[in-house]
Amino acid sequence: MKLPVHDWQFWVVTALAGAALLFIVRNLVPARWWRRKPRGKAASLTIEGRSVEKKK
Amino acid sequence: MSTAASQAAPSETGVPPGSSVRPPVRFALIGNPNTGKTTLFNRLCGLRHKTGNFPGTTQEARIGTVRMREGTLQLVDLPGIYSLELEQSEAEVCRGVLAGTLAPPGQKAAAPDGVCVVVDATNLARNLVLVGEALRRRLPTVVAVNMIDLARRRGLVIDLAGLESRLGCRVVVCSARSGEGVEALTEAIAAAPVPNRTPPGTRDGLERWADEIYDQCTSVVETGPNAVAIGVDSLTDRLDRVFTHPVLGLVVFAAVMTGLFWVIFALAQVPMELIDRVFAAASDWLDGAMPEGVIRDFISHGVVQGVGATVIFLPQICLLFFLISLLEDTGYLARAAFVMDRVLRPFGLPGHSFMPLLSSHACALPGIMACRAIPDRRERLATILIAPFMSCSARIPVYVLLTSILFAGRPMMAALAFVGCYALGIVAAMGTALIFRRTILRGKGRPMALELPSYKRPAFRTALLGTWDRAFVFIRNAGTNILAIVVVLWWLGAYPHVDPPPEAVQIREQAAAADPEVRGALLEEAERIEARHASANSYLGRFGRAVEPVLRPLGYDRQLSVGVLASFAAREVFVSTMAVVVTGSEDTEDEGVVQAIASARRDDGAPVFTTAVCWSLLVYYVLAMQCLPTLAVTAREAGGVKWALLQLGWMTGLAYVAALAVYQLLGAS
Repeated sequence: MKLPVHDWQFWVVTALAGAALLFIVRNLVPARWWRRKPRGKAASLTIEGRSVEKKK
Repeated sequence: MSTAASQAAPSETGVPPGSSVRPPVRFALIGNPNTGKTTLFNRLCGLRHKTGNFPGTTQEARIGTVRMREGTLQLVDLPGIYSLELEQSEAEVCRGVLAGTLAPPGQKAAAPDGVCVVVDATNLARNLVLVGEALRRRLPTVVAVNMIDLARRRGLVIDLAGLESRLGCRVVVCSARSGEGVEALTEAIAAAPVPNRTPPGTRDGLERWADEIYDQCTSVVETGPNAVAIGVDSLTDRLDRVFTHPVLGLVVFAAVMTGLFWVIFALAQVPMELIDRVFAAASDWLDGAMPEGVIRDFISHGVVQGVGATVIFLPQICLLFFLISLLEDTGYLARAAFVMDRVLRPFGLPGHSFMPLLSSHACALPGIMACRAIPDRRERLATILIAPFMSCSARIPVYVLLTSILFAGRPMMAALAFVGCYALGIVAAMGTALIFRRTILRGKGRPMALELPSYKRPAFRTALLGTWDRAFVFIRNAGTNILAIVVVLWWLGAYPHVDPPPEAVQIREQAAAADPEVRGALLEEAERIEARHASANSYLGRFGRAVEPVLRPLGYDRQLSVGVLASFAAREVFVSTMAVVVTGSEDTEDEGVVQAIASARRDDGAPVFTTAVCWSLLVYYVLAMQCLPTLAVTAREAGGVKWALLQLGWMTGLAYVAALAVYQLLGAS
């Protein structure tokens, strides 16, 4: 009982089957589980393009 | 100035110049159901449209483009609604689009540049309520008075200038069916101003406002010997006396449905065989043209056969949707839903469920998607959960195989068993609906409010476009999923490689020393034994052995367990899997192979397909949830994986218990 790991064709079909499996799982699992949530970016507050401290 | 409805050209608007939109970018198309909105959309956009779901909702809308002198106009065909204020998913989508909180996928959410309200000229009074609600949104608005040809035949006269003046926006009369006035409508949309009148905000006030405008702007005249007053359509009334009759209506409905299915099965046979041959020829060609190897097997037996297994059912699905679209266009389906409401109501389902359940006989995927039209959430969920009980096209190869084994040479009995499978699915669905509606989906259902449109000659163009849409959605949703599943199953069934069994080695040695006439048969036998051994020791085969103890009480051995498990991906896979597992051949078209399946033996030499096992399998396949794409669509449409898991657990559990009872009953006797 063995996998033909020395046959390059085996790796091609395995990659395709893996992609197909990923596709199935992605369709079954709710989108919110795998979709990256948008994260807020820290930004300093400015008034007319200048930082609050400088304006003062 | 009174303008007869027959005058299609738009009159001068009495509206003071407002803020014109030049060129308009995006216009929303709204209207009551059955106003010919989609026919108008198709007339304006032709085939240049795409179907898309609005994010965060489950409501489908269509987006199309219209090329005009001033630029390109994007039209968003929204679902038919009676009011923007209703608590329905359709109304929610329309509100969201008009408020600028919903947009087609990939587009920035913003309020549309205008709205075109499509109204039915023969039903103006009720349609004007929605017009009033749209006018209150203060968007550039055009009112398209559709079906003007029908209104003209009934002697309706519309004071177009008066209507424009009272509504405060452009009004164009048109007929989407004939194309009359459509160009004028496009021009009106291009120059639509913001309305200069604001209708009342309360529901009662709006209805009074609509009635007043209707009384002031319309009149009925005798235009000829055949003219009938508006609202008194004697032909529709005469037909409705039969089609909506408590008893006669059901008889007509049964006759129409029988005819529909007969046409589907009779006409789809030829293209289905043609597609089957094309894919078989493609597979043979690949086998001959490509060098021997795993990739050739993968493409020929995995990809081509996987796609073929899906596409083969396309003719039935296209025919079903084409005929349903024609029936819908005539106005009959609204009557069918009305008649079925009485039948379905005791089971906690509304008449709205009829269409999704009918569609599910082709494939559960479009059937479940059609559940969006059911306004009540609990009733919608109940319909989604029972839709896969309807015998879909994918079950047909399994039914054919098992009934032909059970009743070899007795076609009438086989046909009766076939019909019995459909009946069992419907009975299980109704029972399940009753249980769910009295337990987890308990609640009072909404009374079905349904407008019965006038009978019309169906529009073939609209039916063809609708069929094209559905076919595309089927290919995209089911084809991609089924293809992916078949590819994974092919890999699991192909690996790991095992050494040939001693029995096969011995036969090959005998073949080497045998006469050329006997050699071929011996080599074939050796190949069959090797294929069976490889299949039994593949990952899929080992999984089958592991699961066999669970399925043994139903009468299934290791080989049948693999078939049942493989067909979890898609039911139709059962036949080809059994051919591979039992005979070591994939040529299921050959009658000899079906015969070989029928006479297959277990490891202990006993026949696999006994009468009790065949009946047990039939019952199992009628009731079991054996379709991953359906589960995925259920999870999406019902709004959670829990509903898909409930569907899987309930259907498979019911199938197991029923198949067990059948096997024990028949096996013991």
